[in-house]
Formats: sequence, C-alpha cells, structure tokens
Amino acid sequence: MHQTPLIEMAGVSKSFPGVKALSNIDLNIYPGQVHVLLGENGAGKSTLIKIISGVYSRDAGSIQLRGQEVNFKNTRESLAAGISVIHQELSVIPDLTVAENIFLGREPKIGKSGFVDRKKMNNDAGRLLENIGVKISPKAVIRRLSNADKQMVEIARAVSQNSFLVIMDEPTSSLSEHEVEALFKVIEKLRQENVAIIYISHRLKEIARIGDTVTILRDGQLVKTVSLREIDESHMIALMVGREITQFYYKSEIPPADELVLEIKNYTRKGVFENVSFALRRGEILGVAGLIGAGRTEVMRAIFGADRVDSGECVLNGQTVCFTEPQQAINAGIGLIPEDRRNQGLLLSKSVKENTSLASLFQNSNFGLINFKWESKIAEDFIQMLRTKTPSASTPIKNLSGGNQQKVVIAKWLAAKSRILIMDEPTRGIDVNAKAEIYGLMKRFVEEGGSIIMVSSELPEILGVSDRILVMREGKVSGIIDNQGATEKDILQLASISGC
Amino acid sequence: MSNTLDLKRITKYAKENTLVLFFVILIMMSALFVPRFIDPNNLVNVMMQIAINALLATGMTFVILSNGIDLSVGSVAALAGIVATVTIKFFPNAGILTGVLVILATAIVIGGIFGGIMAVNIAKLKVPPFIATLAIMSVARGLAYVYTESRPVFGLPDSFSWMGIGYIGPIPVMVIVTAIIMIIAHIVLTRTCFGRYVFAVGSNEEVAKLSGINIVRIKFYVYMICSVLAALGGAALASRLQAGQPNAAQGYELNAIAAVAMGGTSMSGGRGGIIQTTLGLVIIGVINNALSLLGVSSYWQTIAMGVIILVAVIFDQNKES
Repeated sequence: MHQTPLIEMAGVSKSFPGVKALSNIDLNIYPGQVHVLLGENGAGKSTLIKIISGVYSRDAGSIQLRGQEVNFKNTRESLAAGISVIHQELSVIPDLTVAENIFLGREPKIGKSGFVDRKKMNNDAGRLLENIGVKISPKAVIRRLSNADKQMVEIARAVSQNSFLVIMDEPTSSLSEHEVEALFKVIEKLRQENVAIIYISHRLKEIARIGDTVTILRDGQLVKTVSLREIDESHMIALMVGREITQFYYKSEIPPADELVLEIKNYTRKGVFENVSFALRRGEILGVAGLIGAGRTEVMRAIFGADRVDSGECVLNGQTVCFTEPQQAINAGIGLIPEDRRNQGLLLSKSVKENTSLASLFQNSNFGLINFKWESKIAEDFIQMLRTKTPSASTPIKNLSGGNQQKVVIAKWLAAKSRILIMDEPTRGIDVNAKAEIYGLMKRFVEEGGSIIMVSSELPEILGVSDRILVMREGKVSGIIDNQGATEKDILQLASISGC
Repeated sequence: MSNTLDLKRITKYAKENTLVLFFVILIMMSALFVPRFIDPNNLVNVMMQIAINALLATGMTFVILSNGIDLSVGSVAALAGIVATVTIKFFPNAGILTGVLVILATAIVIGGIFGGIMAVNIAKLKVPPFIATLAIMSVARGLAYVYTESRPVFGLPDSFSWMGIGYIGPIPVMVIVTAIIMIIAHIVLTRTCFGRYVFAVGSNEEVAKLSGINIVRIKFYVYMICSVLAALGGAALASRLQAGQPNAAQGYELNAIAAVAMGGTSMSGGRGGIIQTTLGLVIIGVINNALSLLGVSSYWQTIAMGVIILVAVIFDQNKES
C-alpha cells in the first residue's frame, strides 16, 4: 500500500454498559478502494461505522482524516467532512422526486429568493445520475422506484455531497441479482473516481468480487486485515468464527422427550417464507439460525397468529390448529417473546406488575373484575423467582435495565402458563450476567416439560443452548441439524448466500 | 445541602401536580374575589352547567385513552335530542318515568347505531378515527336538520323536563345521573380487565395484540360507550331546553376534548382517566362561572378558555419530557 490513507484509525475502543463493543481497532482506509468489513452479528461492524460517522463517540484511540485528527460529534459533522453512510434501511423520502431527495436541504435557489430553482435542480440531478451511470429520471417519484433504484438515489446524494468516503451497510440485502449487478457498476465508477468505500455484507461471493481489502472483526476485536486476493471463502468463515466457545451456556442434561408438541408443515407466505416445516419436541430447545432477513421472525409471528400465512398446517399436541389471532395461540399455551422488546414486548409506561399480568389478566379475573390480590402476588412471585432487579412491582418498566425488562416479558408468559415459548433474539442488548440468567431460566423451563423455539443471530448462543438447530436462508429452511458436534462453520455455510 | 434537596422535592411535587395546584389557587381566588361564587346555590349551579359536558367528556376519556378521538359527539347529541323529543310527543300524557325511559332508550339506540358504525369503520376497516368520526359528525348533524326541516321540536309534555331541570332534594337530577355514570366509568377503567385493556391498546397496540388482547373488540366498545353517553347527554339537553333543536350541542365535541386534555389525559392514549377528566371539567366550569359572575361577556370567555387550555397542556407536555 504505497498510497497515503484517507482515514487512519489507531487503537479505537468503545464500551457499552456490560459489553466491550470494540477494542483497540487499527484500520486504514485508502481512496479508490473497496474495504469490506466482515463479521458475525455483534462483531462490532455497526459500532465501528457509527464511530467513523460520528453517531457514537469513541472511548479511546485516534481517527485521522488525511492526517488531521477528527472527532465528529454527529453525522452532520461527518457529512460536512465528506463521509456519507448508506444504511440498510433506506432513508429517502417516498413522496418526493429523485432530484428533491438528492438535494434535500441544499436546494438550488433562484437568485437570493427563497424559491427553488427546479430546472437547475433537475438538470444537476440528471447529470449526477448520468455520471454514476444510472438511468433514472430526476423527476420520478421515489415511491414508484425499485429498491435498487432508491439505493442509487442515495448513492447519487452521497456523490453530490462530494463525499470521498461512502459507507454501505449491507447494500445488497434487499436487491435482486440483476440489481446487484447495477450497484456493482456504480461502485466500480466510484472507485475510478478515487472514492473510498467501506462495504458491509454477509454475502461472501459478492465480497470476493467487489472488494479490494477485507477486515474481519470478531467480538469487537480486529482479527485480520488482508487483501481479498490472498484469502478464500472458507478461510474467511474460519476467521469470522474461530473462537473457543466460552461455556457460560446452560444446556439441559435431560434430553428432550420424543413426544412432538408442535409440528409446522409447509408454512408459506408469498414473498416472505416458503414451505417451512419443522417439529418441536417436549422439553426441547430448537435454535433457529440465519441471517437477518432470512424470514425467521416472520415465520414465528405467523405461528403465533400475529401475521397471516397463505398455506400450511400447524399441529399442536396432535391436533390441527390454525391461529389467526395471538389470543388463540396464547390460549393454546404458546407465548411469543418478540425481538423488539421495547416496541412489541412491553407497555413501557406501565408498571412491572401490569406488564406481568397483561396476558393472563382475564383468566384470573372475577367476571372481568381484576383480581388485584392475584396480580400483586404473581408479580412479586416472578420478581423473586426470576430475580428481577426492580425497586418494586409498581415501578414503571421503562426504569429497568434491558435484562430485567426481558425477565418481565418472560414472567408474562410464565404467568399465562405457556408451555411453548417462542423467543426471538431473547438476549439482544442484554449484558453478560443477565444473559446467563436468561439461559438458566430457559433451561429450567424445558426441564419442567416446556419447549422453546429460540431465534438468535448469535451463533455461540445457538450452539450453546439448542438441542437442534434449524437454519433458514432467504425464506426457506436450508437445514435442520442436531447440535452434537455442530460448529459455527456448519451453520454459516447453511445460512449464507455463498452456498448457492 | 438538605435545604436544596427539600426545595427540589417541593418543586418536583408542584411540577407533578401543576393542575391540582392550579385548581386550588383558582378556587381560592374565585372565593376571595368573585362575589357570590362561594354561595351554595352557585356551586350547585356550576355542577349543573358541567353535567352535560361531563357525560360527553366521560365517553371521550375512553376514546382518547385508547389513542382515538371522537368528533361526532356534538352531532350525535343533537340528533338524540331530536329523536327523544319527537318520540315523547307520541306520549302527550307521559309521566316522569316515561320521560326518563324515552331518554335512556334514545341514548342506547342512537348511540348504539352511530357508535357501531364508527366502531366498525375504525376497528375493522381501519379508517383513522379522526376521519370516521368527522364523517359521522357531518351525517348525524345533517340528519337532525333534514328530519326537523331545521325547525325546533316544541310542545313537549312537562314531565319530560324532569331529568334536565328537576331536583332530588337540593341536588339536580342531572348532577346525580352524571355523578353515578362517572363513578361507574371510573370503576370500569380502573378495576376491570376491559379498562386495563383500553389503557394497553392506547399505550401500544402491537404489544396489546401480541399479549392476546382483542383490539377490535376493545375499540368497538370504546366507541359505543362514547356515542351512547353523547346521545344521553343530547337527550338530557333537550329535556333541559324543553325542545329538540337541530343546532343544539354545537361545538360540544371540542368542549369534551378540552376537558379531557385539560385534565392531563394523554392525547396519544394510555395515560389518564376519569379523575383527571373530572378535574378538567371542574376547572373549566369554575372559570366559566367566575367570568360570568364578574360580568365578562361570553365571547371573551371563549377566548380565555382557549388560552387557559393551551397553557395547561403546555405544562403537561413539558412535564413528560
């Protein structure tokens, strides 16, 4: 590397309460190169780009931009310095035109008046789009564009701001193969214009094609930075995973019974998931692995009756059932712990007590009158049993830490006497100790004859907790493996697009 | 050190209870500076003036707690007034009991029909509450004019006015009826599963749904309750006015919403209740009464009311953040 780097990071570290998100990262980004960041979910990729773009501040280390120390306090500052981020969730405004989106907040004016010079704006936008080789009309309304075109508009916006570093977070996750090609052409064009690109993706094939350099992160540490000419796919997977599994997981010693409690047959919802079939045994923890967007959450919500299915059969304890409302699933003994605890799992402004009783309030009422004695009792019981740290049962749930909030969500289903728990990312955003406690609770739950389906993006967690592992890829089950000697590599191979 | 702490505690208490503080000051000022305010007759009069708005505001509390809004209450009230007066004219020799029964039946039928239509549109067909109730506001008012050809319905039996202007002992019938209904509403909201679910739906519909609450059913009842109480208020108003007037209860939806907002029930649902609404109603009632006794014109009263509501809600919003 003879060039001078555009960005030089040295010893960058960042901690969140209970987690060391990044430790001691050294990274150089060169102009005209595509630098790939690779790592499992939680390896620290997003934290790293958030630090570069000023969303987070670093705890330690230095970042130099063209030899000048920088310390962005927000994305406005980093944008002004020429760094654009294109997020996975697109941030274009659907009801404005392409040109209006590109020049949002910087519209060319007619003289010194407040009126927008639409002609100039459309012309400029047209030229920009042409420059990056995209055929979209500047006057088109964003809503009518494909996802790929929307992404192109974001790229055009980044270019129009004279960004010399464009960060792309999983840009191809919602694109078809054909659209990916178009994106690659644009990236190629940017590279020729000496723009630096940080590219995050899980798709190994794609990385090998488009990238120059890859940096592999694992558990917040930089494992290796290497030219993509000198590394192959399996080596990358090995580096991503290569960790000894620390044994704080609690796997039950009691093997699951043979009795099937839940059978899902050919669950299909068009365009979301297809022919998903699996069975859950009594006393079993079934791990569900897969990349973000593989359709895991959607399948779980469909089983629970929160979303519809187009076809398929659900057999619960030997009886064919069909849940169209969560209420029916709950009455049948199923509980769902959603992935977004704060927006789907808890009434944040309500108390620990009210959240605990919510799903079983009516069953324990006297002709619809709340049984306050019962409510206080179960709330107190579960606070003790799950060792929830809260000043009292009447404390608003929003004042609790993530781990303790999650315990209350679990308590809600234990109070409702659920026998099957569907846990979607049960330990997301929870510190290590609380995680261990949650695993302990899960173990106890299955030992007492319950069954759990656990969706998780953390492979060590999947391997440490599950009896069997179901892997999903692009809405389909790509494999169900017994967790006897299974490795992260096995799962990643089933989960990632590189396999096909 | 401890001094500053105490000061902090006092300010904190004052901040959290701005409205109670405001209410106490308002009552004291009125008692001191407004002639005849403290007279028992006047106080009964204040309650009487509040009573009908209180019925509408009670229903509105349910709707707003569920994160909805009902703009139709004034029109539904007017239509109910017409229907009740037209009906009672079929019974020229009606006694008190018949009058009360006609009023109650009208409330249930008219409230049931229009509440039902709105509930289906909002809960099932997912029409935004603002639009669904705006449409019914227009339809119900229109029906009242069409049916009466915009002429008031007069010539009602005297007994019909018992509910509107009669007394039981020293207390107006309407005050007793309203108080009973508000107490029931309070119990429903605080002590029943249904009430708890109204709060849950208003706090976060998705969480409520994923916890097994039948959102459609809860919303259905909420709009039914609101419409039935609005129709009851309208029939009672006709009883007080001794006439069914198609232009009655004009703007009552705003008074009801104002009382709920003033009390501190969150406009985005999930927080508040009948106690808060009561406080809002009484504050608005006392201000109106005090200004009347001071001889301020009713036009100025409207202006004062708007300003006071705005200030109260500004305080409330800033308390949240």
